[in-house]
This record gives sequence, C-alpha cells and structure tokens, in this order.
Amino acid sequence: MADVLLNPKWGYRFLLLLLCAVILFLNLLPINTAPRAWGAPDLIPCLIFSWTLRRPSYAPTILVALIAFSADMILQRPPGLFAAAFLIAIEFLRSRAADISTGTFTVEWAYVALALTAAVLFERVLLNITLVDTNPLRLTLTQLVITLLAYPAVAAFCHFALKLRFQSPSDVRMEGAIQ
Amino acid sequence: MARDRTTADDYSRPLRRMLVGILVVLLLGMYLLWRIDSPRVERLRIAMIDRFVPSMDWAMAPVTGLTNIARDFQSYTRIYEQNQDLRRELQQMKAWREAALQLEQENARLLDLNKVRIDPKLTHVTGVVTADSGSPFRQSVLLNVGARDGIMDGWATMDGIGLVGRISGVGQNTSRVILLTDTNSRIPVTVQPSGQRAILVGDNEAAPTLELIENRDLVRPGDRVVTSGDGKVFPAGLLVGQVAQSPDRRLRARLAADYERLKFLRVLRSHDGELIEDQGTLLAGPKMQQSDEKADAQTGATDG
Repeated sequence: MADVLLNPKWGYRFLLLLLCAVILFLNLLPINTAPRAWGAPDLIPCLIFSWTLRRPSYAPTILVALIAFSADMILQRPPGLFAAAFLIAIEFLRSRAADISTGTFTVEWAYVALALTAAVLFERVLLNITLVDTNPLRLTLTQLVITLLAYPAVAAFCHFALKLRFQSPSDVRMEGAIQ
Repeated sequence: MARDRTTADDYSRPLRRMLVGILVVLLLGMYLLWRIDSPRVERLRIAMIDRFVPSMDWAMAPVTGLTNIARDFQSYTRIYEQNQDLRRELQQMKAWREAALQLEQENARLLDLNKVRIDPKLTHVTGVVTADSGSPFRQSVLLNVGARDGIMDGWATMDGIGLVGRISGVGQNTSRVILLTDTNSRIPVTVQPSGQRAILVGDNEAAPTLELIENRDLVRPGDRVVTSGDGKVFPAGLLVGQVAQSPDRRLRARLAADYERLKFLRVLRSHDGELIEDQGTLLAGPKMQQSDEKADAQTGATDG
C-alpha cells in the first residue's frame, strides 16, 4: 500500500491524463471560429511520444488508447482510426527505445517524425480505402510539419519541467527494488 | 547495457503486444462501425460531448473572456487607424442610410399594396457558443441549447444578420452547428437579382464556393446570395452573403455573418412544408381525385 503511494508512477500517469485534458480544453475554446490556413500543432501525440520514450511505465497502453480515442471523439475525427494508428506508432517507438535512449536528441526526433508521418499516412490511406472524405492535403501537411517542429519544445518541457529523463540501468534496478 | 533490461521484460512483452493488438483491433472495429452505421456512433459522440464539455463551461467562459479582452486591448494600439476607418465608413453609411430610408418607404408601400405578411412561423431559439470544433479541419461550434429546448437536427442557424450553418447533432443540453465553411456543408442558394440557383460548398476557406450555377454569365460579384429553400434543407430567403470572385476566377460567397466572433446564434424553428409526392396530387388534390372516382362510379352505376 505504502509502495503504491510512494511510487511516482501513478502520479505521473494522472499528470499525463490531466495535461491531455488541458490540451483538449485549450483546443475547444471558441476563440477563433473563422477557418485558418494552417493547423495548430497537435500536442497530444507529441506529449505522449516523449512521455513513452522517457518512461514507458508512466504511459500504460490502456491509458494512451483511452486518451487517443477520447481525442478522436471530441475533435470530430473518425472515431478510433487515428487512435489505432497512434498505438501502432507508439509500439514501434517502444521497440526502438534502446536505440533512442542511447542516441542524441536528433535520433529521437527523427524516429518520432517517422512514426507520426507513418501514422498520418496510415490514417489517410485507410480513409481513402473506406471512401471517407479526407482533409485537405495542404492543411494536413502543414499541421504535420508544425507538430514536428513543436516536438523539441514538448520534449524539453518533459525533460526540464517535469524531470522525465531517460532511464539509466541503475534507475531500472532501483525501480525494480521498489516494486 | 540497455539490452539487459529485456530479461525482466521477457514475460511481460508478449502480453503487452497482445494487449496492443487487441486494442488496435477494437479501435479499428469502432472505426468500421462508424463507417457502417454512422448515425449511431455520432449519437454516442454527441452524448459524450454533452457530458464532457458543459462541465468545463465554468473554466471556458473566463479564459475566452480574458483572450477577448487581450485582443480588444491590442486593438487600442491601432486606435488612430481605426478612427480614420470609422470616419470613412460613417461617411459611406450616411449615404446608404439615405438609400435605405427611401427603400424602406418604397417597400412599405409595396407591401401595403400586396398585403404581404412576414412568415410568422419562423420563430427562433437563441443559444450561446460554448466551444468550437477544436480542430483546424472541422468548422463547427457547440451551442448551449439542445433537445431540452426542442432543438432538432437540420434547423438553420443565423447570427443577427446572416446564415451561419445548420444543426447537426443534438445532445440533451448541447447541439453542434456545422458552419457553412465546413467541408461537409452543402446549401442550396439563389443568387439575386438574376435568380440563378447554385449550391454553396464549404471548403475550409473563409468564403465558401458557389458551384453548379446554371448560367455563370448572369452572376456578378456583389450580387446577393440567399437560401433557396430547395430540397427543403432550409427556409427560403435567409441572407447568406455577397458574391465575390477569387483570383482563380471561382465564384465564392463572402458571408454576411461575422465568423470572426460567433457568440449568440439564433436557431430558426423550421416547420415541414407541404409535401408533394407526385404530379397528379399537385394538379388535383387527393380529395378531388377520390370524389372524381366516386362520381365515375356513380355515373357508371346510373349508366348501367
């Protein structure tokens, strides 16, 4: 019992949920209802990517699926499609976690760009296969680029403000000892 | 190195893979369900939003208010330019006012001549915009009126001046308005004064395009665009905006409603019009036809 309370894992899981709710809330504010020529960065994937890469145990798959599905529902996207693509992308990044944690930030960024682009492409292809109207390509591409440009800022926020760091082997042993 | 860790994960990794697989299949299943039976899932969506968004209302109002105050404050820095603009506009307005007064008198005389009454069936419910779609790909807003207030799918929504969109998705306390600028929006319109019919197609730009115009030559930039009431999508004669030509020579409608700040929206109560099923009933009503048949039968009987 005391272990659960002392373990920062649950605190960080709750924090992830809270941050995603705040991002959704900011997106929903009716500040500008006129159409824009560019898409604001999609911060939720950025946040979850950098979170999972740093501490996989702080972003359990079920929580990620729940957040992604709620985002699909609330932001008027086809429900479940991008969430599924996103889960696959995260699984890909997790399988490459060893390379990423030992490499430089550029390596991490490149992997994230690869995963996110693949997810967006997957969503678009499936939408086309199932004959659903897709979003304008220009808008999708600008949003993808802006989201990827925003990734370093989100990663820096996780690293410096939230003290989410890559695990060194000694940390793993410590954590194993606590559990 | 990092590889050492995997010895501990050896048992949990296949399990997690399976969990991810199941979740992905579930999510894709949800998507297929949406593709096959869209209305049911959309009802689920609006129910979810109905539960989720109004509970954030207490936080949304102040934040929106603060950003608006900040934006208003920014506009003070341009106060001199604004003053000049306003003066110039006022000058134009005075000219227009004269024209309007004359037209009003003329209109009153003509209405008096024709004994026309404005349709009293078009009453409205006013709602406040509580949230927008939250995504750059969808142009819609959420109103704080819903099924509780008798709102129904498909009703027209206006701000004080022009058409804004139509209701699509009604929750208990909220309803979603698909704006004319959304890529899913298709509205039958008439261009005045030539009376050309067209379809107003939203494409995520500030001014939706006019498509399927019968005769393009009769439509000029500056013409008025009003709803036509075709297909009974909307009541006829609601102001939409003015025709404008974009640099790529496509005709667009510059919307009369102020899309920069949608705050209070009117939802017009629409009533079903007379339904004409086939041409026969249009020429002679069903009662007349029946009585004709009866008359035939009677004449037949008397003849026999």
